[in-house]
Amino acid sequence: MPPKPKKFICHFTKNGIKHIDYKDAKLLSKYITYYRSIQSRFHTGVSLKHQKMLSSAIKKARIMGLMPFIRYE
Amino acid sequence: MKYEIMTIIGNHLGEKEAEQAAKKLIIERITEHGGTVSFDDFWGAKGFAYMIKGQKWGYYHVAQFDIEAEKTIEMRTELNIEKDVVRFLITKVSKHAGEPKTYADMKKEWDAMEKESKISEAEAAVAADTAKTAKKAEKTEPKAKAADPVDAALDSVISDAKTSL
Repeated sequence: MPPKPKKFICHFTKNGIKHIDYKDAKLLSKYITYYRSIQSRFHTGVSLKHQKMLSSAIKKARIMGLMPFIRYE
Repeated sequence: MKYEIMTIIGNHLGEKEAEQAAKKLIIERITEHGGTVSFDDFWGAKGFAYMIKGQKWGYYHVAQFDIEAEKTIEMRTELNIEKDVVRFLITKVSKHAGEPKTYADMKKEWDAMEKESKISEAEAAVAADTAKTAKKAEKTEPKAKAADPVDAALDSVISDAKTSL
């Protein structure tokens, strides 16, 4: 039997957030990996509704140069 | 329909020139097309996360406005031609979105968040330290207790004058 995944509480549902702003790059940067790709729901515990909002917000922020697409160096 | 436009103005201009350019290029253009501007915020100079058109930084500007949907298409075609505009993004404003925040307010929030996280980290570190010391104390105490009866027995044997080795 594989170990059961750790249970998380969604930060957005907990605080009753209905809209995620793409300009808030500090918040969005919590939900990307070391190589700056979008982190999966499995690892962060974000609800499906908010994950869709998050991914679209991150993509907008990337287009405007607020967040990176990949990790350089 | 309510829209939001974010523009990046090139760094070949000065800070004041860039602010004037933003007013001329965006605010005046919106009013020309028959829209009304409800929010206007100039962020100032800011570095990019990656190189855009060979530049490493630019001036950011955000505005919210009410306009007909068809007019945004015209605005897009016009802004694409402008040389001072490096990049721009027109988005719909969600009905769930609250009142727009200025960049200064957002920065203040971020600083507060950092402070909170630092405090919580420090608290966590202190809690971990206390837990460690408690564990150490636990580890050392039972050993002493376990050793006690044996030591006592040995002592009694050694101290007894009748038993000779």
